[in-house]
Amino acid sequence: MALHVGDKVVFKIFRYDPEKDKAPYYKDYEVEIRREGMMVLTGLNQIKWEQDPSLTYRRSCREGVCGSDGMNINGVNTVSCMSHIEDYNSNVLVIKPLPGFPIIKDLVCDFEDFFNKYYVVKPYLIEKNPPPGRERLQSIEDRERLNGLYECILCGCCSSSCPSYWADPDYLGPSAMINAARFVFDTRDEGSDERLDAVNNIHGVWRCHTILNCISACPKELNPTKAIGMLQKEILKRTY
Amino acid sequence: MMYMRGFIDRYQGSGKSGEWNWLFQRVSGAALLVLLLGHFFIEHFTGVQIDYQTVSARLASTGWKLFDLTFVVFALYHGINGIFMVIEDYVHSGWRVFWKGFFWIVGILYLVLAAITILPFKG
Repeated sequence: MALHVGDKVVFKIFRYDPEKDKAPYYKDYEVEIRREGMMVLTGLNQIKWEQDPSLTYRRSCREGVCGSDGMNINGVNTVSCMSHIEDYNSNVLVIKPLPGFPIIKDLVCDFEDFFNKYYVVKPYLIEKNPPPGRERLQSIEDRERLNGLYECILCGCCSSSCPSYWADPDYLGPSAMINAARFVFDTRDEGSDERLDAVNNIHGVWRCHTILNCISACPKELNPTKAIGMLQKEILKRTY
Repeated sequence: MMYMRGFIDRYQGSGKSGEWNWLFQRVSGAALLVLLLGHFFIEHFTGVQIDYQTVSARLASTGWKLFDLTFVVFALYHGINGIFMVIEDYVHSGWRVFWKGFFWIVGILYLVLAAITILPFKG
């Protein structure tokens, strides 16, 4: 469905202010298309700046790098700054906060648990020996193994789309584990044993049931399921 | 790490990571595929008439006893381990101990039942 400048689209937005509202509700807003290929985030900004300043959502860089604006648009988790309104082929966009996360207000979720799980995998370079020479060099081939792992922006779309993550409150989730893989398969890192120990656990890699929701949710087109599979293989390789 | 340890120690027994269960779910699945295809072939495509006489004659041999017992062990392991995974997914209270215990007993009972059915055949 092609949208043209001047067309109107309805945003049906999840609203909830725990201080005022007894229960969450949906409110309709009319958004005017002002340029070709307008993003959902631009529409949200239009509502907040021109119609209803009480609408609450996170955003920062508006170009898919900061990972602040993960939300559920017409049933699909994504970041609103990378989603064209016209790609939804609909006059109505239902916008909800990320499923499975506690809601603070409107589209803003509580990420504390999500980040606690991220810190479990020690997402930083662990070095046990001083760098040889001036810096830690890496071959082009070794660096290429990190493609598809390092791009994660921690928007929470994958973990929030994962039924295992909804069911098991202790499950680390695809996001934490793709970040574990990012360091385990980095030749410069020396902490892979402790990282694999952290994910080798019934709430870690073995809780993944390859539902594959994380892959379709990831706005950066990464493959967390494959990363979890790589970790599983690495653990089995080191044990047997 | 500490963040999750408490939970596992309480319900899982320390050191049990789920690694072995995950691997053997795949191993038993692959074994079941082979055994099941063998079973289908023997029962439905060899043209042998299936009645009590032929089946009991076949089950008198140690080889067939072993085949059927392996089949039972892998099927029970695969099925009940799958139920364990569902329990780990959804049961996060002390009930997990109850349900896992319950299915351990169910598994052992079925194994005993299968053994006393298969083993006594004597030609």
